[in-house]
Amino acid sequence: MKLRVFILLFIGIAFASGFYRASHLAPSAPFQFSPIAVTEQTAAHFETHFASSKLFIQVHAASAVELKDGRIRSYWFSGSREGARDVEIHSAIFDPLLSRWGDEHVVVTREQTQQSLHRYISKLGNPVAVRAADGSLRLFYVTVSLGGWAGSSITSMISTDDGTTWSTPKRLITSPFLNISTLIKGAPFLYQDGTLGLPVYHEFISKFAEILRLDQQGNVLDKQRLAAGGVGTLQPVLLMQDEQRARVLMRYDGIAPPYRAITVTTQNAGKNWSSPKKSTMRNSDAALTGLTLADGRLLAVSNDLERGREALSLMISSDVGETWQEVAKLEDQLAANQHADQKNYAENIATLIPQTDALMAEKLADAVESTERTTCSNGQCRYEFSYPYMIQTQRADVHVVYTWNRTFIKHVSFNLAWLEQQLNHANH
Amino acid sequence: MLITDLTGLAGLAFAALALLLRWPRLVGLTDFHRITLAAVVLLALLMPINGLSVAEFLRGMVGDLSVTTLLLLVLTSRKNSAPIAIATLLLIASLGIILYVTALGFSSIDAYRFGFGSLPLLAGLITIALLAWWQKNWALALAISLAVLAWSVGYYESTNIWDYLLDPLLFIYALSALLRRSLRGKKMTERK
Repeated sequence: MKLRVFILLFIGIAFASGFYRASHLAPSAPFQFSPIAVTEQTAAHFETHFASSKLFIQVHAASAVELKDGRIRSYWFSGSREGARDVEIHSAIFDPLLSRWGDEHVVVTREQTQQSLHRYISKLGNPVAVRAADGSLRLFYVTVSLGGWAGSSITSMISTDDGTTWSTPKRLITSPFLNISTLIKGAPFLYQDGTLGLPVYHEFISKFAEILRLDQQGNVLDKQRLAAGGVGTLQPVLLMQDEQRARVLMRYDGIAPPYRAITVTTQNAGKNWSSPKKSTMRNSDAALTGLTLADGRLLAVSNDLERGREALSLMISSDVGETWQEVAKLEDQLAANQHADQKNYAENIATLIPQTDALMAEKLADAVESTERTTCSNGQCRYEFSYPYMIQTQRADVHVVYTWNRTFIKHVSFNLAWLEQQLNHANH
Repeated sequence: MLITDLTGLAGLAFAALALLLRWPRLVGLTDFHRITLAAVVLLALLMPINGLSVAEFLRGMVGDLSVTTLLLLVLTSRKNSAPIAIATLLLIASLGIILYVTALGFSSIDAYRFGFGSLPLLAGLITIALLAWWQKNWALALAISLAVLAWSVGYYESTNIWDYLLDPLLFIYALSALLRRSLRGKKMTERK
């Protein structure tokens, strides 16, 4: 009898505690919609650089964040090859006044992550940085313990000194099945209550995009699926229209043509999402990026192709993402790719490198050899411009970082005057 | 080290030890020998080798074990412990099927999402806990309540109730135990 009463009492206490916690979780909130308008008119400006500087190494999956002093910090992964055990998260800072990238340095290694998380880690992947509502920087990066990228989980760190030092890494638990598989690529966004939205995706057995919502301490509050597994969606990017409405564009991993980015929309800050459908933007199973300008137009960078990643385009939409127009080609090696034997390739790369960044011309021979080693095999080479990530700074300038032939992280920056100039050219 | 690292590693080390002590050759040991062996094994599990202990390696592979797994290991640790009730195994297996199948994306519904503090899930769980209590299935009533309590105080890294209720190892165990019992039941019927 006593045992029966004791257990009933225990059920009561446990559930009182459970219901108390559940009723104190953050309710849903509107998006923090704060597009950046131009405050001073300047002449058209466009420049390119390499953010990474280490040679004879493969780099991929860059992201960027504006620091409090107006400089741009980029993060990417760097190692002997994608998925290797020696891959580390690297970072460098761009000073717009000097128009120059600083030296790259190691932010975190596999060994450090393993030691801090107190669990086995086999490799590191995509790093994405964002400024949280409390002013701190948050770095989310992919970690794998088991298998390939499908076995990924997300690890997070906090920095209160704009990325100089980081807190002990913390694991996000986002999936019931051995905590696999959740990956991050798209830019995080804020809700008005200070909670953070992470556009993430799942790759194990089937592929689908999701949104995670994190409280200000970085604990997972919610996970919402944007499409069922059969659709083949990856790497979502959220483009807000106002506090309630947003469009998500996703990389299309399906086999059925036409190859277009998949899109869903919300009218209530993500409480509900429309059914996934194909957008008008071409997509060659490749990551894309986007942002909303102050006048409501959407800007995107994507491989506007049905196959391959040999060209990368800056696109704009004036009808909240229904149709897209190409503003400029940031890269276009489609023709060169037809004749990409090692000799032609090396000659072409030797002209492209100094065009991108005059500083790299000083070590041109090594830079060309480094590119060849990464992209050529048996005398045939390939071009790859992929994984773009775009931000807009408080001065309204736009910065894009992306993978350049897996050898460099390329940085393209321009102001809105340049954007309008390009649009005028295109429309006349 | 975060407190949730300690709780996670302790759970894994305890489970590894509890399973080892069930090895038939070790069951007959005296209490003194069992305690000595337990201390040595715990030390071996938690001692870092090249910066990583066996428990940390296991944690990378299987994650933190659910509260239900740990409780069932405790409740069945004695030689004369009652076996886990068939209703409990059936519940673990059916919840596991719903959870894992929907988690892997076979539809746009994801049962895991309800684990982030949804009131309907808590209401369902308290109903099952009270039914278990009424049926005198103490193990099930305690497992569900302990999991909810552990979730509410943030015992593990996870903020999702499902991670406190279930884990893939427990799910696989429940499926195999049900299969074993149904095969045994079939043989008994054939003998009659």
